[in-house]
Amino acid sequence: MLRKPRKRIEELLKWIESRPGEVSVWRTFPSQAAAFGTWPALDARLTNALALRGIERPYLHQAEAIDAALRKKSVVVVTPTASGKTLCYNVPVVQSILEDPASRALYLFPTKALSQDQLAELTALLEGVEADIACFTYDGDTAPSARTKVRTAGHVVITNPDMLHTGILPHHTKWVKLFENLRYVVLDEMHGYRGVFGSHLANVIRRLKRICAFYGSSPTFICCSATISNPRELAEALLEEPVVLVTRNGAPRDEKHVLIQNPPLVNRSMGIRGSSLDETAAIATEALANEISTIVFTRSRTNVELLLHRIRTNLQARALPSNQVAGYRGGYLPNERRAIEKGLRGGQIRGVVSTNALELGIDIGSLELAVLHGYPGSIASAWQQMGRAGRRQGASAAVLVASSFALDQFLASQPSYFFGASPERARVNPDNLYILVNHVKCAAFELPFRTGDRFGKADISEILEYLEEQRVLHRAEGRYHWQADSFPAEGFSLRSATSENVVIIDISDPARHTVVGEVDRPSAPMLVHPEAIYFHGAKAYQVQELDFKGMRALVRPVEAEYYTDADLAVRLEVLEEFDRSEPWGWGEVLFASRPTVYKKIRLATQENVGYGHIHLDEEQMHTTGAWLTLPDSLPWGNWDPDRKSSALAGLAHLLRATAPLFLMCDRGDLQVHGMVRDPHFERPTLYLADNFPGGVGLAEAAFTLRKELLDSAWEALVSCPCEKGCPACVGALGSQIGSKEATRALLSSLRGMTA
Amino acid sequence: MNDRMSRLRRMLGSNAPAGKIPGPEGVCNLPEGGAWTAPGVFVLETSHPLEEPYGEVGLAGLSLAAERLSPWGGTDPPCFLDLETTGLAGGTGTYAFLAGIGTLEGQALVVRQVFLASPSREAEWLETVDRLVPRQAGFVTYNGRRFDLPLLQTRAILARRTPFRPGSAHLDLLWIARSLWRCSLPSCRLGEVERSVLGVLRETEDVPGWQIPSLYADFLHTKDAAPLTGVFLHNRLDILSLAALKAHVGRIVAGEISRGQETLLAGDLWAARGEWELAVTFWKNALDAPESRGEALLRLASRAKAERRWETAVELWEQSRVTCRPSLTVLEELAKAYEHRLNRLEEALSRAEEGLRHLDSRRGLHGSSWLQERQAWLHRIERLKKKIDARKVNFR
Repeated sequence: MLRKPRKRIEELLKWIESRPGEVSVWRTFPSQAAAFGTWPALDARLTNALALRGIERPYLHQAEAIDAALRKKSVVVVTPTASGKTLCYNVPVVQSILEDPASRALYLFPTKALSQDQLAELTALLEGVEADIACFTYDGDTAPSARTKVRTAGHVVITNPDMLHTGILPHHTKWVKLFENLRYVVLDEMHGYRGVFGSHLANVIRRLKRICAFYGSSPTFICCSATISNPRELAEALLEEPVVLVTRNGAPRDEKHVLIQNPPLVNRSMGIRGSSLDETAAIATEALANEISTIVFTRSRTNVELLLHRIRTNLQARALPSNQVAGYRGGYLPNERRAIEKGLRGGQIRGVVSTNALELGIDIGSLELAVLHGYPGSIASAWQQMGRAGRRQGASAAVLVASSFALDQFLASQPSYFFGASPERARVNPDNLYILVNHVKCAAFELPFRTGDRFGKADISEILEYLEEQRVLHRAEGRYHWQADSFPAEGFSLRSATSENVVIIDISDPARHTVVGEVDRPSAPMLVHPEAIYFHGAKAYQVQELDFKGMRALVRPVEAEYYTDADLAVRLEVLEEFDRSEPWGWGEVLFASRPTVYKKIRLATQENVGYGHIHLDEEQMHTTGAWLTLPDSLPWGNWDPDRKSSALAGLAHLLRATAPLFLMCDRGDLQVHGMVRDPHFERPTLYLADNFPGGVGLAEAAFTLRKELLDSAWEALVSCPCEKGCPACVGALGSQIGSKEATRALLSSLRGMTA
Repeated sequence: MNDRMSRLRRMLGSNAPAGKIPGPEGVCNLPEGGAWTAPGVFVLETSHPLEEPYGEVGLAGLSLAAERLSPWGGTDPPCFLDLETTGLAGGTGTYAFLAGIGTLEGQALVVRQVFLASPSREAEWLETVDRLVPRQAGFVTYNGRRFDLPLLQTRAILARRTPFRPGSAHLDLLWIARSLWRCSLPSCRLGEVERSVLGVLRETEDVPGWQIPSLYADFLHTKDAAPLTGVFLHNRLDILSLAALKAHVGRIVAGEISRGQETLLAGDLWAARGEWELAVTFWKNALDAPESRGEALLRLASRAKAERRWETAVELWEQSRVTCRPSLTVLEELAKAYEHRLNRLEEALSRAEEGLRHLDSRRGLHGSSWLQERQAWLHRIERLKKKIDARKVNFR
């Protein structure tokens, strides 16, 4: 049978270029040959096992990292996806265990799924090593009966920071073998440990090191990170010790193309462009039709399902098998995910549509094409998603399809911004008092402090005295003993959101209910409210009941021609004012949200075909917030409402970008909301609130540093070379509505008023 | 009194300093009769003759209990152990400040309570506890397997001491209490068992367990031990109850006490150890009490079934069918045994039909599996009818 010759990737890109709409940029990155290093002296059993897996010699970055680790230097490796970073830690760890079978290693991954993935990878390597080396995962899923064995017999224990925090460190006497012999600690996906989460992790590491010191061990840390602008700084802040930085990627890479494609203008006068979703689906379909392995990234779980549905429909229309493409996102069940990962590696599945769930180091092999449906929100994420396409032999490509969001349109019109911007900095503040005090309590629970002890680099004498005063600690002969009848590690969580999931259950067969998927607790009201259409693997279900007590959503399969999109109403309410200095204040606030209505949107045409009301209780979070109430005395008293609201939005955008610098947190740790009509103050008000229940001190710091916040916002505004506004200052929308000038006028008078 | 002190000093060995050790500065109102045996460590010794009454059951029979309970870790000499701690949270941040150690000496139960007056003296406290626990002793505790002994291990590690008595025999009475009274008592906490089973009424000076951590925290602050008097009493009563409970449980598993449900469950305890003869004896005894008769019949029947003594098994199931509430399981066992083992097809059919009637009358209780189960019964009836017809043909 004659087959239509398939398009090569370059031809596909030319095809994209020929489509309506415009390719606003096409950059080509040249191929790079492999750069090899040499193995340090390794046990023959290990080099044999590596050779069995086809690894004769290490790439340069692997050699550098392994060498540093074996010399007991902590190291941070920054290389792209699929460059073989797992070898950077597995080799020194296995080598140390072969040298001394008592040696132990602890691997930390941010999610349980990654732990499973790494266990599989390490087990595969160990199959070729003729020695008894036991590796286990230890997390909430570990059976109680297996735990004793993991504690005593596990050479490599793979876990996550949360489990280390509540399950391992407070029970360290059950892990004597591990802590006495701990040689390596592996910290993968290090770039994720930033902001408040990173600050927590830094303190967990302080606790870990303290316990290791008690048992006489001093582990070497091996960290891996995606590209961020300050990997060494982040690693040294997390570990509080110098690290060797390895950035020279030795993995070979063939030519790679990067395109930004803007869908065509369909209404020139109103500036409306064609659907980025359709465009993304069209590109993915064409690629799959030409047997080009493809990954599509999109921003939301709903979009994963919509794109999957669209691509499958397109493939069927061309009489091609539609099961060659799968969805992959949070909420799929573990076994589903495993099957998809396996299918991708094995080639039975050629295409995958994903959220940023696949940004993480899940091994799915290398793909030829990455299509980004919209800018993912950060430069680092964008490059990481684009990095999923990249092969050692044969060209690859990444296409960013601009959505109608202002930021996407800005990038499409000024692509040099995208290529020129440095990736985001990751910041942590381990000495944030709220976080520090909580961990000092945990540490005191684990081992008594002596007077004068430091906690990592932090001087904690005042905290210890305070805790003694509170009778949490009891001081006797220069030692502080835990005295409260409580378990401090269970008193707080390292992450803002709970890890609880709502289980989605198909009840169509009364005799046999089956679990379809799951959704994290915070997203449940939006995604599985009653009457919502829930898509899973492009199959539609309608939600019958959302039961928060039982943490389950009951659904029935339906034939749906539409999907649902819920609107979220958010409100902030001041509960108690702690301090005030006009026009600023801070105190306890209620951050409340509730989905109110949902729209029904036809799958085929994206048109709105109806709506319904959602009757759910409000989700409430008590936290701390700082606020800036704008007095009428400002020159803007006689501005029109549009100008007011664009100035307020411009200021919010500036603060969102600059405040994390001063508060030493991540963007996501902070909620910044401007309310043109605030019901509490009855004046336009801007809130900066901690995105954590109870608050973690960010609002208080914002209030204290209010002058610096406004000064830096001002600096960012006036030093920005743009004319009318851009994403770097007042927001991408600024260039369209000219909010830079309004924001400047507002900010200028606010600076005059802030003491 | 002096006698007691010198004996205590002997037990604590040569390391225990001679002469009077002063208590930590400012500590006052500890119970009378005790003494500081090391800096920060106070020991109070009391003696309780075995013939003295305790609750409704007393301590009689204690000397025999270890042997009776040897399958569950009972061994002589016993060491009754109970800790009072700074919390129930577990983990490395909880420590014990009072250890009650009970030993049998002559015709008396001697309780030594080792009190820690400051957490900075934990090493000395652990040393004292270690010396007061007799060598080769078998621990008797209530939840000691999960709480007291692991806690002592944790504290030993933290104090960089060798493991605390690894591999010692250990009789954890909570496990046995659960087996015997899980269904009949609202909980199996020691207080509950003590009240309902041993008939012990605690004196009013006793303090409830949940208050103990905060009482100790207060003491560390004020150094006034007066409010701890109740804690000492509480701990001492726990040790006495442990001893009384051990004696009582010993009598139950020896068959000296025959109280329907307990006897039945004591049979289960033996069965779980593989002691079938003893188990059967207990179950037979349990037949006499109306509240345990039904369950006893079923256990005896299933034992007979396991031993393939079909006539006996059927007889027991039939008794159960006639005298107790009919159950589907019994009817199914009967139908199967009559059909496959005894070849009494008419009886098999009659039991199967009874089973179907029974199932139909309780449709509501069976939920979604009802239809499937009904199919199975119908199928059985169908088959039996065919077999019976076939036999009739053969007879002709």
